This record gives sequence, C-alpha cells and structure tokens, in this order.
Amino acid sequence: MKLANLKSITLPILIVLALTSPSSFSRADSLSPAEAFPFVYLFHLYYDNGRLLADKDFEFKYDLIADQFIQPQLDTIKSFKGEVIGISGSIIGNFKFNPPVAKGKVSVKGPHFSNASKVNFYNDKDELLLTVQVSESSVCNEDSICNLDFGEDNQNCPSDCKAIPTETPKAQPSLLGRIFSLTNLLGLMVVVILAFLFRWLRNKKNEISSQV
Amino acid sequence: MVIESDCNPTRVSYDGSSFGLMQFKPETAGDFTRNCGMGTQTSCTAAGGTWGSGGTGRCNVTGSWLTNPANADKSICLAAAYINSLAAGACGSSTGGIYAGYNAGAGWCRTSNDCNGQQSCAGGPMKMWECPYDNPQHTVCNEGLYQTKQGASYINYCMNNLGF
Repeated sequence: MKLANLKSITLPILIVLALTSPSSFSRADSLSPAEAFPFVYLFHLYYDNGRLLADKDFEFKYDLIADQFIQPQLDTIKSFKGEVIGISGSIIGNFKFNPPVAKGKVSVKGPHFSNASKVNFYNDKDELLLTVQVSESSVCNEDSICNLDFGEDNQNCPSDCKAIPTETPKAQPSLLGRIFSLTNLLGLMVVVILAFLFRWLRNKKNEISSQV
Repeated sequence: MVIESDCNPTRVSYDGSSFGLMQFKPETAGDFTRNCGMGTQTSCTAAGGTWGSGGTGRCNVTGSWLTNPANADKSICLAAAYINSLAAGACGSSTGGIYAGYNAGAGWCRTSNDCNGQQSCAGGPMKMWECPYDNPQHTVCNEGLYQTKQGASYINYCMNNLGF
C-alpha cells in the first residue's frame, strides 16, 4: 500500500520533471540554414620530392564537394597543414592532412568559407609549399555592400549584410517579470518539487525504520 | 526539371530564393560558373554574368539571369555541376540521395540520430532526410522535408520505370 502510494506520487513528479527538462524540447536531427548547404574544397595536388604542386591532369586545382568537412585522422604528428585566408587577409580556417609518402597525386580536403581568398599549404616544418586561389567560389567579397542579387546574406556574409533588426521593439518586462521569467519559474518549480520529494522520502524512511 | 520548375524557365520559388528551370539560388549558381565556361572575366561578362568585385575573381549571376530563357542551357550546366558535387559527398550517387541533397541541402544527408542504427534504402546508415521520425524515441513524426521525400520517391520511380 505504502509502495503504491510512493509510486503514485513519484510518477507524476517524474513526468513533470521530464516535461520541463530542456532535453525534451530538443530535436536530434535539426540543421540551421547555414548547415544545410555545406561545401568542402577537394584540392587536386601532386607531390614530388618535398614539393606540392597543382595536378596538371585536372582542369581546376580544386572542386567543390557538397559535404560537411571532417578533419581526417592523422597517421603522424608530423602532419602537413592548410590555412584558409580570407578576403581581408586574415586566417579564417585551418586543417591538417597526412604528408604524402611518395611522389604522385594527392587529394586533400579542406573546409570551405564563403569569404575565402586563397588556401596556403605548409609542410611539417611550417614552410609554405603552395598557394591555391579559391575566391572564384566565395560569394562574400567583404566590400561593405550587401549584394543580395548575387546571394550574399547575413548567414554567408555577415560582414556585408548585417542582421536586419526587428521593426517592433520588444516590450520591456517589469522588474518582477525579468526576475521571474518563465525559465526561472520552471527551475524554481523543479527545485521546490525535488525539495518536497526529498523531505517526504526522508520522513517515510524514518517512519519505516521507527516501525521496525 | 519537371519537379523543380515544371519546365518553366521563368519560375521563381514562392519565397523568392530560387530561380529558373533548375530552381537555383544565385549563391550556389555562382560557385559553379567556372565549371560552365564562365571562369574568366571575359567569358563571364560575355555570358551575362557579373565579374566579382572586391577582388573575388568570381562570376556572379542573379535571379533574373537564372530566369532568362536564353540562359537555360547554362542553368542546366550549373545544376549538373552541382549534382556532381552532391554525388561526391555524403548524399552519395543514388538518385534519391542526389535529389534530397539538391532539394533540401547536403547537410540533410548526414547520418540520422533520430533513426540511429537503421538502414537507408540506398544502403548504409539512414540519412537525416529519410528518417520518418523527429525524435529518437520515435513518438513524433517527421513532417518536415515532405517535398524532399516525395520528390526522391518520384525520381526513384521514374528511374526504375523509364518511359512509363
């Protein structure tokens, strides 16, 4: 009987906790608009005795692959690296890759940026081996003008396209409203419920031990 | 082309973001202009594109360029280059996968967490766009990406029943 009572009380509490926990609102499979259309550079290179060159068998030094960039697993600590340089000249991304072991063709993947100008390739001694221009696949030219016609927007080119502010300003909540926002209230509710549950269980335990 | 624009080269999507026969976004189209003979300033301007300002060295196209029937062939070429790009990525080379990537974006071709451990129709782990559920507990149906799923099934049917 007592066990049944315990169950009847704890079950609704657990349901309330589950419903109010942030994880119950999260969606595992979801993407932001920027994540939906990812690209990766696939560089077509040729390695020859310490030199890294563009592979002449390919029309372009790189292709764009519609995929998410994943840093490859490195077989050695003496890895080569690539640096993505932005239109403004700063480093906006980097990646590492396994050094070629023999003379021949090398395919290297790197993360794509919509404001990239070039990609520099370095060996394990940080010596510059090759520079590949990539600006022909960069929509964001950082000219301080938001070229909506060409596809610049605040996702792919925040430097040119600032986020459009909402026209209607939000009503300022009162001090009480700010203190007791919905999140705070939910958190408070959970704490209060847990405190009551803890106290109730302790009393029950004492009751049972006194009966024994 | 039938699904995307009903073969209407002047079609603009309801939200004004995609244009022409292949319903391309200008941003994505510009990324592939060099694959379609518009990789130099001369060839770009000759084809009606706008050579990149700010030293980008890129041939930009606009929505009105994409909806101009005179550029329909270029539009198809750009779409083909993008399809190649999709096939080399996580979407894979199955017809359904390529269409899903084309319609929803390659990001949706990642392995689904909501359908973790389940098999894709094309083999391998189930992709995000394929999963019929919207949570790992499988209590919420995935009602999004309806057009993607419908289009992928339609394309698969067409490919398996040519001339139907």
